[in-house]
Amino acid sequence: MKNVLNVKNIYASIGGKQILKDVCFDISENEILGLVGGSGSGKSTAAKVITGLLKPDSGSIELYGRKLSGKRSRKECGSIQMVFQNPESSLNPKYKIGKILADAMSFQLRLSREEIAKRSADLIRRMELPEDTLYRYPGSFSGGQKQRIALARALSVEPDLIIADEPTSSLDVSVQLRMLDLIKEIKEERGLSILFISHDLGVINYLCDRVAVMKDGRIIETGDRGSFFEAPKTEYGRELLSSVPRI
Amino acid sequence: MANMNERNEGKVFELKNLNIFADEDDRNIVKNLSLYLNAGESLGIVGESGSGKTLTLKSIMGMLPDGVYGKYDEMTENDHIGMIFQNPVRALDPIMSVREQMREAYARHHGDRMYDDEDKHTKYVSIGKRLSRILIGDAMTRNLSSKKEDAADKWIKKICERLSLPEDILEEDRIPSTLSGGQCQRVGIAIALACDPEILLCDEPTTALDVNVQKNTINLIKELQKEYGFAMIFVTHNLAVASQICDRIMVMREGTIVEEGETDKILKSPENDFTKMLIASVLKVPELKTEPKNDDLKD
Amino acid sequence: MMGLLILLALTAPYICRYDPMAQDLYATLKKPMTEGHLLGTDQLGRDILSRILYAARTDLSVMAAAEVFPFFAGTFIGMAAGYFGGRADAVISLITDTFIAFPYYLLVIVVAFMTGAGIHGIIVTFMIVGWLVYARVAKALAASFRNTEWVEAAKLLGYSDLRIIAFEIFPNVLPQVVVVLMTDMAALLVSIVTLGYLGIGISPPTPDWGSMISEGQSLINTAPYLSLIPGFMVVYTGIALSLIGDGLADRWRR
Repeated sequence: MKNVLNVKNIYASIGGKQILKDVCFDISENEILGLVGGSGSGKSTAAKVITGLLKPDSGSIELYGRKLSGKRSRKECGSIQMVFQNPESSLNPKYKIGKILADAMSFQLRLSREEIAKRSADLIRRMELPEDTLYRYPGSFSGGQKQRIALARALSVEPDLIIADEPTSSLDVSVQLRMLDLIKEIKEERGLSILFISHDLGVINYLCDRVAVMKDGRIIETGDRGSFFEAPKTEYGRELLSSVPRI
Repeated sequence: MANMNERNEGKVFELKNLNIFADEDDRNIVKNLSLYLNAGESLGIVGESGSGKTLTLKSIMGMLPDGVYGKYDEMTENDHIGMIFQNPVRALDPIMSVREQMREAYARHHGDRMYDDEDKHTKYVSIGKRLSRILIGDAMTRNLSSKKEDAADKWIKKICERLSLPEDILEEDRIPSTLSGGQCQRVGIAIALACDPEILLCDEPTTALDVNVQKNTINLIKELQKEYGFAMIFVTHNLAVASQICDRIMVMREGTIVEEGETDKILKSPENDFTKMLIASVLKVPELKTEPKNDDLKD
Repeated sequence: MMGLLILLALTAPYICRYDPMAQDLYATLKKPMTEGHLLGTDQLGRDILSRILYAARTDLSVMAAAEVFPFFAGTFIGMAAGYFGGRADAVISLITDTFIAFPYYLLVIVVAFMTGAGIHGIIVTFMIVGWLVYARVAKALAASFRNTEWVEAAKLLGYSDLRIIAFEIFPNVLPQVVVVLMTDMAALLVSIVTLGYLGIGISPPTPDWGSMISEGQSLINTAPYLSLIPGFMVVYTGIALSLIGDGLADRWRR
């Protein structure tokens, strides 16, 4: 199984404060890696560095073995896409969904108008969104729908890796499950790699193949989902697991 | 500390037929909601966003926001109601030191009677008093005689110890933004306890906290409940959290209660489809196989 | 309201029976509603209705022309400052704070003396100081959008900064700055008219509401309509612009 993403010895700081310290992990093809940690652990910062939004102090990010430059090229940008936590601010409120998707696809993939229209319609259907979605503005959708639209946008440019930063945290439980299933299905269909950031261990257990635990800017533990949940190697890992409220 | 002996057995609180409407279009947001609380018990209100659970709590507290209005047939009057909120940092005054805020809370309920009465029952304090407040400053605590000031400080020290808040929290420059989320929430709890509450209202107090901090906070609240003997209404969207802390649960959906009963019974044999869906949506985490000493979750 | 005014102004050449500058010394100072002259004539026999409408053309087009540069330049500069933040913001803030101190009318008079009275003076002056208002509003808005997820998503798609500012941020800034534009135009119109009144603005015999007011001033007791009518037009335009601004603000707030 090829390595899609290699994060090597990343040090990163924001405003002078050292957030990430020697962060290393990798993700293979067709794999969902769960990144767990408390607030302030650096999970979101790690996502920013991987996507190129934040320049690291040192270390490198490699995609299929090729080192990614600090200033990403258009193609490099397109290979890594992201779904954010807050559905309310993930979509430009002034543009219809159809235009958002079409712009993305035409810019990244240079497709013909017909091809774009076809793919947009297919994506919307796959995301189980209403038929008229492409003609509506983001404001007219619910939180769960907006997240699926954001996922559609991410998928539309055919990325190698998708980073999902707590995409279901602000959704109701009833909607969350469907979204997680959708992500699972999409991953299988496309052989996608996903970095799934969450603080919710129940979600991680449901969705992820491997788990990485972050604390104070470091990766302190990685492993298969099964072995992590049965017997975490670190004290902190055990603490996290035992803190989960159970019915 | 309150005396358990003085608490009545039986109902300490009852609310009958609460209705909340939106100003804009008179939409009925909360419909004919009734609930009651027995002494020392915990009632959970579980529902999704928009179900009206937070508005219900705010009605009890008398704190409905702009844009909605409410009415009810009956509600037990009680001055000893405390509340803790979802976002602990934002629930505190951002520019006042944490110590001052606790002092103010204490003074509010234990200060000179004259001051207490005037503020509680009149909407408008006279201009003269207001001006003198501004000039003298820190009027709340000024109204404590020096004897009572000592009492306030003593109480603060004691409560900080009980809540495991480090001493440096009490320094003059510690404003909420310099504290962690968990610490802020404990300060919030302290402030709520300052009124010797008979009832504690909790509005998703653990949702914004890390998982391990959540567990400690929940345990803390449970312990405090045993010590102080207050009854509690705990609002959450997380059924698992509610099941840990509540004796009875009410499931709320779109402004109405769809099911209520004892926690165990609801979890084991839910009748309503929505309740069943909520239960099914709780994602399971496998039991920890090693380190049994960490597994002290369920009381 | 505004629509009506603009319509009238645009069609003026076609509907006016009289050349607004033609003088008819035999028909001076007729009251409004006199036969043939809906609004009467002035002391030189010129038909007031025609002059009003032609003045509308002049005043309104100067107003619009003067706003073009400040609106676009100011908005763009403001958005850039807000979007990039940091040093760009600091530099642009410094410039805006400096320019704000310039007394507007003084500048106009200076420029007027340099370039000769007339339209150019007004437009140039306004170009120099008028962009500030837009820059400030645009900057605040752009700064508030800078860290939103949809901007980050745009960056992730590889969109260049320029593209993001022009196509992603601008549509979100536009409603607010257009509202500002309306009130700004109203104020500008008052300035133009005032300058015309003072004699440093648009020069006679080109009709202009301001100069009409000043010309009618001396006869205010006997023929008040000479000044009142143009004055009313200014007020009418101002209200129309305000209403448009309010209406737009309401619509976009929902």
